[in-house]
Amino acid sequence: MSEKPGKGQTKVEPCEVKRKNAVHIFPEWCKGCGICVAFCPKQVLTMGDDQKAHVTFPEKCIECALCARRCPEFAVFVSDGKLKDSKNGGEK
Amino acid sequence: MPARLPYAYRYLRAKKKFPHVWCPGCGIGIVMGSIIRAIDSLKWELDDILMVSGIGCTSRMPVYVDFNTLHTTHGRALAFGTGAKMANENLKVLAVMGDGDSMAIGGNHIIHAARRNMDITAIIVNNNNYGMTGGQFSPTTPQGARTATTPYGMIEPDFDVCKLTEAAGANFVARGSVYHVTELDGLIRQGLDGSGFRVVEILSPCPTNFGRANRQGDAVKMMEILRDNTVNRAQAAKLPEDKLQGKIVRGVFADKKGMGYIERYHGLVDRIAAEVKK
Amino acid sequence: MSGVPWGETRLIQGNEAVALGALAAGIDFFAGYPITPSTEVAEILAREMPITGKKWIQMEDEIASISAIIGGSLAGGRSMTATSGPGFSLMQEGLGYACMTEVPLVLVNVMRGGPSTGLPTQVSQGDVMQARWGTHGDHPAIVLAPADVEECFRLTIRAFNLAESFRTPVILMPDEVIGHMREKLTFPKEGDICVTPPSAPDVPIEWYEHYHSSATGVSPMAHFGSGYRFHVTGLTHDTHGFPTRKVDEVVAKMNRLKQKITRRLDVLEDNMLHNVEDSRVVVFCYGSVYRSALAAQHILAKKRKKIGIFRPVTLWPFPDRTVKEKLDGKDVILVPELNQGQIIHEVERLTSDSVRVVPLHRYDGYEITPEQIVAAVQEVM
Repeated sequence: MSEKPGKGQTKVEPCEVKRKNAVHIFPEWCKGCGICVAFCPKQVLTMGDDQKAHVTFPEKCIECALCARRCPEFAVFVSDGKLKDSKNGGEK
Repeated sequence: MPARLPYAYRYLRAKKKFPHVWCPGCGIGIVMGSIIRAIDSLKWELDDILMVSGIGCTSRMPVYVDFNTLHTTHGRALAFGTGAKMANENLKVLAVMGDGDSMAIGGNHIIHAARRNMDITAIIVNNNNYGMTGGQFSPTTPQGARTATTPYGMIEPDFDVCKLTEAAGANFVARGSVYHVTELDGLIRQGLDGSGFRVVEILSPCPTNFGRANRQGDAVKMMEILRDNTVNRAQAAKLPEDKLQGKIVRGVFADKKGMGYIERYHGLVDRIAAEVKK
Repeated sequence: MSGVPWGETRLIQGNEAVALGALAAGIDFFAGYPITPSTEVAEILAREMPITGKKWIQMEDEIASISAIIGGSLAGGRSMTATSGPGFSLMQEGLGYACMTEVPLVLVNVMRGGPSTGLPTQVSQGDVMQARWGTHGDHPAIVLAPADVEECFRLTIRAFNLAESFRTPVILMPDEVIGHMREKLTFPKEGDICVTPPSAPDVPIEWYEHYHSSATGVSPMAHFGSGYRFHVTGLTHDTHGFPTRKVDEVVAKMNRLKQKITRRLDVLEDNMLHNVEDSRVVVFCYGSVYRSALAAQHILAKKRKKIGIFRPVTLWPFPDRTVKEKLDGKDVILVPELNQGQIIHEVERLTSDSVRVVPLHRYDGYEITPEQIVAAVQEVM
């Protein structure tokens, strides 16, 4: 049911299974640069039509927090805000 | 906004200042986050920190953070910081500057701060142009690149910030990139925690000016360039000469424990006192 | 000799007296760059300050020097630098920054022949207008012009006090003759001088505004590392120090900067008048020329010719009201200056057409002599 996320695609319908929501995006501060979406190793995030990043597949999130570290706007936070060390990388 | 406030808010000045002034996709915000994480891990007191800057996009950083902050004149951050450190040794001084601010108009001050091994950390965000004024060339603009004042391509050779500051005498010299952000957290932490003159050069995209003038695409594409065109020291050691061509090396280039200026000055005062006693 | 020779009498050079005045005022930090004819100030403090653990540094150029003392002042140290013409020109941007950000500091400019490299070892009074308007934009200026060695000592202390009370840079500007002359100076006793204590905020941290609009226009200032965290920028800013472009905030700041000075002329004005009331001819002069004028007055008195002398000690803000009051209505005002005419324009501005303002300019690197003043007076009498 889940489609591959891409830039400009609308948000996917929420599914029945309870999702852990580790990543939070603060839309007022997001400037739609696309960095978090492009470099998430698990493709958890998508860019909405509103030019804001959205957490579309939170169940895939491994809490590497690269999205939060790479967001220039302080618009992305992981879990309770404490950034965990990168687990599976994402950086080369 | 999440119900439990993230740690970063403790370090940010006031919500009404955000979203900040930098363009979408600009890497300076990433550097600011990295600095905050480094300071958080070092458990520094906010009252002890002085962030000083010159003029330019990078130099707009101090207003956003809840430290003692000093936004000075173009190129002179290190001179102001030197004075502040001398008058109040307890201050932990970090200077945030761009490539133009630190290496062109500020060139004289950086080489002397390095020579003296003044106890300041210089965070130099290098986006290869003068962003704030519309993208004119800087001493780190690569040859051939187009900028607002090199419409036919840059003809001047450029500086290697790390080689220059290391040669001038800095205790710690490192280069990172805003793409390699976990590595950057570590480099900045290393650069903050120490004495003498410490330099962390950080490669960062300027999608609005440099990126657009040189058809490098959007912020994501420019981050990919940082990912693909830089290597860390271990990788560089393994690459053959021809593969290393055109790649920029990241990592720590100098990590000495030379005597910082403040310690040197104390030595002078002690020596004079001892002679007077004789 | 080390430290201020309190209560003693010594033969002292002007520049040396400036350095000792700084020590007397409790200088914490000096950053400078050598330039004739001011270098003695830096050299003497280089010897004295480390003895008591105070900080002294020779920076790589004058721009670094002014920048460093601003940083030092913000971090809580009483700070000073010393320079001459070419260095003073380099410091203008920094000076403007200190005016805008209301940072106290003392800048000693020992005037030499200009423009440009000029006459490095010789006297002039060529920086008078630059001291007022050298840096861009509307800004306040406080400039003091000593005319003897005792004033080099005392006015340096006054400069630190004014800088602290007005939260602004103060320029102490002897000309080269005053900087290099040697005179007998009897130092006061240590308890007999008045040093303004450092500014400190009088409100809790949460209420602190770095540029509060107080009754005097000057708000108490916290320092970096004191627990009060604040932002300092050269961009036009609001009462908290954050950049603003809002019209009401910009105008409020600009007005307060100006009125800080214009409303306290009672404290800032400092003039010496000799026989001005009874004389039809008055010599308007400052710095070393004042010494020649005093001698000329003496020579003329012997010839039964009476002249008055009006000498501003504070050059800027210019004593508009006193000049108008005391000098408008005189027959002749002779204005001898070691330049091509700078302060003379202020005198002309404030006196009506019936008053004859006569210049006496010398700009060959040598002093205006008492005989030159006598001759000029005799010509107009």
